Amino acid sequence: MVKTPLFKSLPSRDRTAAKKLVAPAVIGIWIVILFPLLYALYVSFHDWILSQGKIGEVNFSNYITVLKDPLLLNAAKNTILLTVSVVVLEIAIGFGLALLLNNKRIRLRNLYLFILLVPMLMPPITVGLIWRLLLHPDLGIINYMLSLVGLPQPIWLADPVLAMITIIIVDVWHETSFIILVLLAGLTSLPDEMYEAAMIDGASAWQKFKFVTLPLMAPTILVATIIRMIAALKTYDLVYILTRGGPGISTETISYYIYKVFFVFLDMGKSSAMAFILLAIIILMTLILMRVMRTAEQ
Amino acid sequence: MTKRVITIFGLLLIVSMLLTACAKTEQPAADGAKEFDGVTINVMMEGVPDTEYVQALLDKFEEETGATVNIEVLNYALMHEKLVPQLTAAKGTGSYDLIVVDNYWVAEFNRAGWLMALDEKIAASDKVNTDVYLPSMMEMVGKYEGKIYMLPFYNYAMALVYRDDIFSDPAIQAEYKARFGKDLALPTTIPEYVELAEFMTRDTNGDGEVDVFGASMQGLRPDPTAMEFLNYLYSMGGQLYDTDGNVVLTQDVGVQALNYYVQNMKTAAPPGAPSYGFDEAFATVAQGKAFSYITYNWMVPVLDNPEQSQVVGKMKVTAVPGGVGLLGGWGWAIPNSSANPNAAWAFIEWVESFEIAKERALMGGAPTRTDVFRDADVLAKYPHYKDVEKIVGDSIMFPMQSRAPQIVEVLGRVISETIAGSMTADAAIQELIAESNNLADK
Amino acid sequence: MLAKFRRNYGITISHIILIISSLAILLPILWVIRTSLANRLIAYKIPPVWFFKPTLDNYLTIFAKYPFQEYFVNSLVISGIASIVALIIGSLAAYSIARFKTGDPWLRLSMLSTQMLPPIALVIPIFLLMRVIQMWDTLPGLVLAYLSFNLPYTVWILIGFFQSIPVEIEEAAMIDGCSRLQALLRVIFPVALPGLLSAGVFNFILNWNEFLFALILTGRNTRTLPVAIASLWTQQGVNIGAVSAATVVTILPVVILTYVIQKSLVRNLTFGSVK
Repeated sequence: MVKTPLFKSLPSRDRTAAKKLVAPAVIGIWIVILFPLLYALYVSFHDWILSQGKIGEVNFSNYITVLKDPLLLNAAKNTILLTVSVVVLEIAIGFGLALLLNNKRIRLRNLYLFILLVPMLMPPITVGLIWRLLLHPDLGIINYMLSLVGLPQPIWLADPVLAMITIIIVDVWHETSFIILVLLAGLTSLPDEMYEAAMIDGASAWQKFKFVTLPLMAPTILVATIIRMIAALKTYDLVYILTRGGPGISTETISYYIYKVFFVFLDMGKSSAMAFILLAIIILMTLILMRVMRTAEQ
Repeated sequence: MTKRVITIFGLLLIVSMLLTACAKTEQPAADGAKEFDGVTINVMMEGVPDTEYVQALLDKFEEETGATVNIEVLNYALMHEKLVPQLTAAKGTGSYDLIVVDNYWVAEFNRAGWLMALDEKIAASDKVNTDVYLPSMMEMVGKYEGKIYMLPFYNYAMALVYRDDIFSDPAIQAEYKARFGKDLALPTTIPEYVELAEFMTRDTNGDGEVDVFGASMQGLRPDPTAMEFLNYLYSMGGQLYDTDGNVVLTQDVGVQALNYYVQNMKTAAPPGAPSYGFDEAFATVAQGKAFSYITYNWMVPVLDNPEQSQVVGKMKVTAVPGGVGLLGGWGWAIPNSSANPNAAWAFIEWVESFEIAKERALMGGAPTRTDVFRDADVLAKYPHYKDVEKIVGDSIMFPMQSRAPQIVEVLGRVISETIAGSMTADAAIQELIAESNNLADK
Repeated sequence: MLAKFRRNYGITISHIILIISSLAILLPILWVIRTSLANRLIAYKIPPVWFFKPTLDNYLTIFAKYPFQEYFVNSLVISGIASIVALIIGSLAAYSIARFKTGDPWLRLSMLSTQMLPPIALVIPIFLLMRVIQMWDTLPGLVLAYLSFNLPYTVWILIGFFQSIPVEIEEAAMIDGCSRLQALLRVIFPVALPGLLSAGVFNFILNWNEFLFALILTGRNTRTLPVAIASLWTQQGVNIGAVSAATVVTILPVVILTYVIQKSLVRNLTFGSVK
């Protein structure tokens, strides 16, 4: 991060003013979140199934019961598999395309970029419904096209292994736009001087990429990865629309599982406990990611 | 300076509130002496044809009573999510005055005490008489533990829809006789149906690929597959619970039914069927790629609509093989949180009156009243309603359990796992029985 | 000569990759547009009918049968107000953090951390809260909820932006007699306008597509487009033609918006990580 010089001597008046400037944003963020957060924490220590009456006994074992649930464990495995796959693929593809789009010698690059940004503009629910139409094994256009060129026609969402791959493909289709945008924004703001210096030193394209682009882009890639990873760990809409966790339990994610325990079983206590477990996983993965990136940087 | 910041923030909030304040103004009461002048009845309904028929007739009610009826239409899965927080609102403060309730939710909502008992209103009413409803409908979306909480709105009993043109094709009949040594007949048991479905699965144009499947099926978790499977279970004599709420499913019957279900999925259904929901399964039938489909009894008129279907005039409906299918239905209910229970009741009286119920039926609605089923005009338009009345009468509903949505979820999961091969039918039924006991209300 | 050939070779390969990627995005979207002009029979017909008489029935359905124009306005007002308010108070915070390092780095991280909470755990308590303060099914209710999701991203985007504006500019203004607020309003904001615009559009897109909170916090008066689209998905199947038509109607404004300020978006959405 390029440091901006601070005011050498801040009048104390300005320093208090600075704090006050932050206040509305802090209030705006927490006003809607703080009460629900505390409430959910409170509920997570109680027995409470909404349809069976009012909030019940204090129960500290919700967390233990939930952690012993083999279905949650399965959902955790699926979530991590899904998250790692989509984040790696989206960052790799997104970075690759952003590099191409950053090449000023490529004509029509604004048109390409515009097209590539469109999926980001679509609500997830329509993305899911539309891919269900496209992927219908017998009546979908994709399998029809595959049959025209003599390729096998997969049953996409009906096979336990393939279903997860399909969800990953759809997610990559939908979310890579965002990565392209953020990484391209990073690339365009890289200082030209560094490249000029590298050119004078006679660096090859690969060397320029490795010694200039990559180190300078590392913070942007980190931020993009974190934002994307947090969202991916919370994936439930695509699963809900494409597979409902099936076939079997092969595509059930934690968020979808929590959603079910919450809205279908109406078990407030256990679903809140699960939500805090998910929160812990998200924080943990974010910290791991930051640590890994920092080590890689050095 | 901070003052200014706060002022700006405050102003913005005020502006945005003003904007909505304008949007929410109620209409002033008009002159005249209609009973519910100026009253707005807020209704939550599912986006289905039967709801559209009600919407089409609304003007009459508004004309008669002076009330304004706002129907909020939502899809099935989202209704539950939206209703539950609403229903927990305190008495008289909810956002919905009237709702429709799917049979799965009846016990759940009533056990939680969210619905208003209607007995007194019915006793005081000269318009409503619950004897006109088919008893099976009244049991399902009418009564709960001896009290009446709902009036049946429409039925969705399941039946077997099949291609009559294929079934009555002499060449096929001859082939069937040659292979099985008996005449082709409609299946009367599940094993017969599975056998017939496999026989009907064929490559009709000789390109080496099957293009007509014996059965279109829906293996999507949880409710599509659970609902479909229950037809197999019921028809083979199995049940999850008895009427007292005890688990009565036996391992033997359960495993048999599940094995036939999975066998049909593997031998006669399209390869993608384990992931199909209603839409994909319906499209398979509508595109002429399936011989049969266990689905709602009123699908024939839909499949006769040339805008949606290539099999116009070719479909017929009969009872689920074995004669006992799954009964489904919706009921009108007034939540305890309703702000306008009296106006809501007046609406129920109107919408469930014989005249309106008949009009809805003539538009294509699925009746729940015997007098509508047997009405000459209705029968003239839909002659097969004679059979449908019997199907609705014979079908068995989903068990009246307050945790029914969870039972459906478990059922859907174990079936899907059996199809996916991550569980044996034996283990699936064992888990189903164990979970049914865990989740039982007793 | 060889170098030039190599370079052109690289360009050609780049074009091929970009064309394939663009087609991967474009073809499904074209299929959606086609489906929006077909009835249910044609939508599912395989082999596909390439030439059919297009029908506007699906568009008529969503505007006549369901009041999509109302949902459209709801979405527009809610997303717009939330984005603008987030921009105003977010930029003040971002300015403060960028110039005075207020609460660095914990304030910044704690803001992002609110985005880690699974929304499902919060939705019912938020619903209860909105009922208590009587904001359920009101536009300000949803605006307030969206504000809390928009602010962290806004602040993250704008911090980097303000850092890239030289301190000397506002010092000069202050020497000329401006107070700090005047300097901020008259000098910094105009310079920061492209950044503000990008952050605003980014928020707008997030709000425009948000589903879960919109479902639970809206009623008949305030239903937004994604919730309305979901209601086309019934127990008796997806009205896929209407869903496609609604999708086209929903993405059209954001597509146009993105097209107009695409360059600015690309320059500014670095989430405070570079500059």
